[in-house]
Amino acid sequence: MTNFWLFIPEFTITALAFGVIGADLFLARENKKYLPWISSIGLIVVLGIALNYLLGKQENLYGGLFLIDDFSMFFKVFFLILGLLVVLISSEYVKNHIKHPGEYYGILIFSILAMMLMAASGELLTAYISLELLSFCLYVLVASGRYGEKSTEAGVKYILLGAVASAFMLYGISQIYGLVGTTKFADMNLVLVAENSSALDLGLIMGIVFIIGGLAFKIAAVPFHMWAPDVYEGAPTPITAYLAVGSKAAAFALILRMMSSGFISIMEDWQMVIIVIAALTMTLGNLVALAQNNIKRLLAYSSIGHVGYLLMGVVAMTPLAFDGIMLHLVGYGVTNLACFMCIIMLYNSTGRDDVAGYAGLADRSPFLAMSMAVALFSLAGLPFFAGFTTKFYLFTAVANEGLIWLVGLAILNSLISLYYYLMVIKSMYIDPSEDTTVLVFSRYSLSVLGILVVFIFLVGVYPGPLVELIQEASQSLFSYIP
Amino acid sequence: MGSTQESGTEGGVLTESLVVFLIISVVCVAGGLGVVFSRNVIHATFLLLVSLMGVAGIFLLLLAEFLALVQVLIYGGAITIVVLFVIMLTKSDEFESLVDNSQKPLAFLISIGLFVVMTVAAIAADNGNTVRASLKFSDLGHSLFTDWAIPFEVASLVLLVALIGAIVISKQGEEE
Amino acid sequence: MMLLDFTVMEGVQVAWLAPAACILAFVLIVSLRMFDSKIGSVISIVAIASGFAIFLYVFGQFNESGPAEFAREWFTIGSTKITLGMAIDQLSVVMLGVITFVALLVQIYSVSYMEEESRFGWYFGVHSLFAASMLILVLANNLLLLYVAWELVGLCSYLLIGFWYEKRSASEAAKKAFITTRIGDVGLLIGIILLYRTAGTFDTSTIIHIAQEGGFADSTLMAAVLLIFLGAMGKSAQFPLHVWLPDAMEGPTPVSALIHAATMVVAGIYLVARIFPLFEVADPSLTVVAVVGLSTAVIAASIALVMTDLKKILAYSTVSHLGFMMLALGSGAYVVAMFHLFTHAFAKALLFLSAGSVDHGTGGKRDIRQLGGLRKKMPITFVTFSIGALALAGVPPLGGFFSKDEIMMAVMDGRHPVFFLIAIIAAFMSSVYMIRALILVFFGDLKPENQEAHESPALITAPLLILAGISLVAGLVLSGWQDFFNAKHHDINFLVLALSLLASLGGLFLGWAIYSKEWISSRDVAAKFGDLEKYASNGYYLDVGYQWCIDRIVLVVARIVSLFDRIVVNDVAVNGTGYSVFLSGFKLRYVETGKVYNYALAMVVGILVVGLTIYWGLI
Repeated sequence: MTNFWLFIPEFTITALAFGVIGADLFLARENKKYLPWISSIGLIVVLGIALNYLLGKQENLYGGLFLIDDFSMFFKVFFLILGLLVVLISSEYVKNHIKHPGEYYGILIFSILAMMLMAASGELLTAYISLELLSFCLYVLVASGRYGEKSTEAGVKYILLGAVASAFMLYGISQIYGLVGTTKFADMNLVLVAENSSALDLGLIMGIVFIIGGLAFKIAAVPFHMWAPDVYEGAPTPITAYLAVGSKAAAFALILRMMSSGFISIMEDWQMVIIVIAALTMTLGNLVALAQNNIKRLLAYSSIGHVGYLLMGVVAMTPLAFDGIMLHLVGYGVTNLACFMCIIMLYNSTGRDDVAGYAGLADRSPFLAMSMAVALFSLAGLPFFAGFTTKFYLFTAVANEGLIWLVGLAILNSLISLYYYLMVIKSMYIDPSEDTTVLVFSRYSLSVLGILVVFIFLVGVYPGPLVELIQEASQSLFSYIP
Repeated sequence: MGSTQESGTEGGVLTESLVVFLIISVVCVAGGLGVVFSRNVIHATFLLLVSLMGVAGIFLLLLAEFLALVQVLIYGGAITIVVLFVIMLTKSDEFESLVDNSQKPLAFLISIGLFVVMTVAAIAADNGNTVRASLKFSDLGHSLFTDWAIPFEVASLVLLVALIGAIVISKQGEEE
Repeated sequence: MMLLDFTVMEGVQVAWLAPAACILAFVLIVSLRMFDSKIGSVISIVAIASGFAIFLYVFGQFNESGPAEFAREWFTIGSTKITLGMAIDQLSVVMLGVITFVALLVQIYSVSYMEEESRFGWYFGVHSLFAASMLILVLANNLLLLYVAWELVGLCSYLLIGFWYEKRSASEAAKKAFITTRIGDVGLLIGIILLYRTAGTFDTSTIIHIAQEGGFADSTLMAAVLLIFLGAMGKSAQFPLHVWLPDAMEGPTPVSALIHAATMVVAGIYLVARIFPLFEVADPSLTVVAVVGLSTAVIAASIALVMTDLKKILAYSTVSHLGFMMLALGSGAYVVAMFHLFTHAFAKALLFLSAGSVDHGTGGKRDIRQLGGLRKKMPITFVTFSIGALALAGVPPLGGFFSKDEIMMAVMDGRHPVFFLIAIIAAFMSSVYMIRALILVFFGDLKPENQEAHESPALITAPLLILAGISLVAGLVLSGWQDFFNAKHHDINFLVLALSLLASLGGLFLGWAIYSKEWISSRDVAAKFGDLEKYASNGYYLDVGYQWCIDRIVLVVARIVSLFDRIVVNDVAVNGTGYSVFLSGFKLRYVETGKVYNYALAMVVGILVVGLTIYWGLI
């Protein structure tokens, strides 16, 4: 008999999503401002429930369909906190720019559920349908900008290309199932080990490539990255942040689980290809970012660059490298949210999101400019900030596997990235602005931004406890390998 | 039900099922090409129906009666009808240029390439022993609601989100 | 050596309080938002003064108890414990003293020098952060912590060079300094990771131990050491990465004195000295160090000869002397290099602060052609500047004489005589440009527009006098220095001594002859060298070359890549109109900018290429 208590976070978060959508129906227009509070309190409750019931549990439901272990637990907590932060950074933006707040928050919560399921699934179909749930949520959220034709355009692009990627993935899964006879990662591994994988047949390779292609779309790795700048630019800004962090982290969670417990025996054939993709992704992302003049596009390319770094960890395929990936996801996530919070705040008060719009920001709002500078320095990987510690851990882990030149390339790319981040900082501090009115922000936005900045420093200066959690998570992941 | 049948070719001899398979495949592919190349949306929709029915035929051939049934009911019935409704409610002449784009030759080459690769892969794959077996409806239902309960439930959420999303997006343009 | 926890508060272990005090000052200033207030300076100075007091205590304790290491766990990478640890030994004690002392004097000086500035408190906040990071850098017992501090001092330098960020040149210079040194840092980080890969630790003493036991493959160690040296070249402005230092003079003068003369720029020298045994094991690497040092010394000196901006002369002189220090390291004499670092720190800080005093007293003039005859107007500054200049020129018995002479002897011992001869030429030039600056600023006729020039207030002159006093007597500690480092005393080589003395005095005489007596016309001399003079005044066009590389190579590559990305990717941006979907009319006009097809095609191509590549085992 299945122990349904093990699904308690999923059940409660689903209930929360329905609750938020339902509450929206009954709340008067002037009371809709309470929706973000309902959502955030709800998410905190779910977080509490998850920690209370599942911490340290190691269970395997429905014969490996659904896994509860430290790895999935880590990502559950990560996604819940991320969702909470996204709700917080959305609140003011939604008030001004989104027409249907109830559906916005409800679907946002559904997408958190989808990400949690992705990290916990131990089987391809469950993973696929969770990914699909995530994609549908994101399609809607991307297109939900109130006034923007840009937003709608971004939504259409995302839906069309997402459908292609999803078709890839489904096709790949059917191919794998046809050849291996199972969709469960653990069983797949057994079959592949038994088959003496030295001579892989074309069908299997194509199957895996299709699946990877579908996931590569989600993380925006070259050559599946092209949607990212357009969609990032067009989407409502909090959703851009969410796309850049959440959907990427969820896809990485799935990739890590799938690679380590399903395909690890054939990874050697893959290493070079992923190395090349990683190298291309980071180099292209950072080089093209040099030529951008819209801040959201710039961050889109910078996030492509970060995907390149993260892929290096996938190549290395050791618990240490996986630690690095998870840690960097956290560090990058916090930093990116802070960065986007600044963008949202500036956009809310000036309507600008081009780099030129940042001219003179230092005089108009010193705190905003400084927070943005902190976030950008962290993205560039300067010590003291989250970006350094997490990147360093990742790079060291990869270098440990002998991929020194790749790490060298990554460090060089970080240098390039510093250059374009400095351009933004230069713009904020030096370039004169046509409009010199002092910007005033609500206490609420300032404190959310403040919290994020504190997180950046916290992860950068005192990563010890976080690292321990992550190490447990990755150990549990590798414990599935016989 | 519950019967089994051996796979299509036996020593290179054409069996009945292979002949049927070939006919159905031709219908499927022709329908699909028709959808892509047709310049009239209404025609395209009906050709899509042909293709979908062909797929139902393939399901039958694989002894997957349930899927064949669902395919006819949902795709043939519901989805095509909805598509037709939508087209009739909008101005269909807007779609005239849908198939024009400059990368056609390249796309054609790549598609052929992918097709060749996947065909080679399918032929090379060692699946001679595969036995087609049909499944009881009740078994299918049972496994959907037990072993596969999670994906099944998540699928319902996908539909729900799609529904809500469609409403949200379509109401976007309206002024308050 | 014992590994102790921070919590033990006795003996040399209190050293960690020095950076902690400075960090506390920074946090206080930033969190209390005292960016414009004067209290910031008080907090900062109290912090650095207590840092100096801690140094005095640690120094006393160190002489009794000897070296120690202590650490606290920070986080772990796999099974490797990363520690926040400190090592107290001769090197770090010396650096602790130099940094706290010079920083203290510079901060006191700044109170008066910067009093007109807005963001006064911010200035002191960053100074505190800088002092803290610099102290962590020299005290760190592992390379990772050192790297963190290394980057932080770079960041502080960026913030302080760009302090007048409204000035475009200042912020450009700040960016240039940041990026150029980061090029070296790329090497440094890769080098550290390389060492970690074999050693499994970042702990400096353990790594050195492993290297001496032969635990590293030759090629790995060689590569790692050279990569780390690249980092040192960037930070210590070695040719050809020196270009940022002269530009960094856009920052406030006290910043130039502290960061770009006495402390941060010597971090590279310190780093090489710190891991010196690694260089010894990877033997030919020291030759690279020597060659780089020598060429830096001679090239920078030749540029300093023709500069007309007082701070730029001092900047190139700093580069040249950093070259001397590298040369000493490359000749195997790290104790000598550290000694020159020590004497140079005081002399150069003195010169910069005196230059700042000139600047302060004449209303912001820095071009030596517009100055002159200031010795009567600014007597104290004149005296202190002269002491600094003569010390650097190597006139006995000032500090610079001893350290330079030691370097020459070390070069003679450790390297081919050609090295020695070129070094002598560089030393000669160093005398010439110092006397040139001294004469052109303080002697000759007072320019009419400088009639208003006046001596600076006591808060500025007091630090000058203290530094001048130290520069006068710094040479006398030489023998104590060698004992402190347990280094052997060199026998005096009279040939070397004579040549080196001849170079300094000859240079002074020549400079005096040209610029004071005008027996020789400086134009004629310049004409003799023809184009070389033009090249030198343009810094041998290195800047132009680098700019060309960035414009023509990096940015063009970036454009090409983004162009490639745009052939398939949308041209400029999402344009909104082309793609609008009005669901009321269900009008899908996505065909007009139909890039979606291209994106999808690229994805299919990607799948096909990746699949076939793996299948055929192409890579």
